Amino acid sequence: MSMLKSNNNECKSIQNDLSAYLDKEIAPWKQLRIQRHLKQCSVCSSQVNILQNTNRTLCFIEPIKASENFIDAVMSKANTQNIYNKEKAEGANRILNIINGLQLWLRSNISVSNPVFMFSFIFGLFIMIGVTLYSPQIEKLNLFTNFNSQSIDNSQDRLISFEVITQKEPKRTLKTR
Amino acid sequence: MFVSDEDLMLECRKGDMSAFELLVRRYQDAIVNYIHLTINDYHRAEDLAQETFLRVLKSAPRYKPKAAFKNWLYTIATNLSRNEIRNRIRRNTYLLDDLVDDGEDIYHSDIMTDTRLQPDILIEKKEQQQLIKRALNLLPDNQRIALTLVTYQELSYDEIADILECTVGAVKSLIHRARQNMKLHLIKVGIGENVNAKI
Ligand SMILES: [Zn+2]
Repeated sequence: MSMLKSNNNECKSIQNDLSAYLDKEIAPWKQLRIQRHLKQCSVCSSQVNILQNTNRTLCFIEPIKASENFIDAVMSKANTQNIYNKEKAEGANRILNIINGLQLWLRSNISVSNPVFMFSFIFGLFIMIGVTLYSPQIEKLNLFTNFNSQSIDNSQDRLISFEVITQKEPKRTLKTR
Repeated sequence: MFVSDEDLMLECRKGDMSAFELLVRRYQDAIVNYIHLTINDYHRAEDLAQETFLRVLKSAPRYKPKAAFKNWLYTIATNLSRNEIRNRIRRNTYLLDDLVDDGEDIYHSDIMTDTRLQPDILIEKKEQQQLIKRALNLLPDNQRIALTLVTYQELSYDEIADILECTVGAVKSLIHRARQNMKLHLIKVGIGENVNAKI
């Protein structure tokens, strides 16, 4: 009984590898182990036959070919795509040239070793960083408080109107009496 | 002298269009065939194959010679096929099974020009092929893609793992399940195991 169980386990592990075995995608030692097992086990060898037949059937599908004008179509599209890419690259090159020119101009006109220039440059940089970091947050804070006060105002409105209605009703009943 | 795909791609990166044309020439049939089998629509397969090569050209500047060109090419083709299938399902215009083309695709294969074959045998072959394609299309997308890559493109499990961005172990089980399911689907479409005797 125990022999049969271990055999079943072996069959299971072998059967999981059968596709890879047919595709020769398995380590040589495993290949040998499977070959040995297949000679003894009719269940697994019939499984291999089924897989092989399925493969053979799949191979009946004839490979198709690209149409005759395939290359021409690709190349004409590729050439237009290339022209477009070249234009884009030229645009990018122009911007790079401007930046390069600016750098050259800066280097030739302002000496970095000049302490006055360095001080004003760093000062300017700090101000720029400060403006970009803090101004939007202040705006956001303002917006937030505005929104909050608005919502409070709204709720107060509602409360007032509610009070007005409840105060009016008893008066009416008094009148009808 | 044989120039490797990777070297051609490097030439292509420099803007050499004749290198690009040579790559298209090398892979046009394989890519049309591969996409056709995964989406089962000949005309759409031609369009998507063209798109695959155009994307190769577009991303040529970013190509690194370390990556195998073939795997990269098949990855692009696979992504386009998957998108096509996904869009089709989203549009819900037609199901894959209905799409098994009317057999027109077979006119782009060699057997139709084989004069040694009798007309009735040709018709029988054509019908058999349509049925096998129908069975193939009953497979889940990933299984069909993996099975197509190993059976018709003759790629290794390593290459397929690279293309599908998964482990070799996953490819192994994907292909095994695909073959097991394929057997059942072949019976479902009426082919079974006697196809060998028929053709
Ligand atoms: Zn066994």
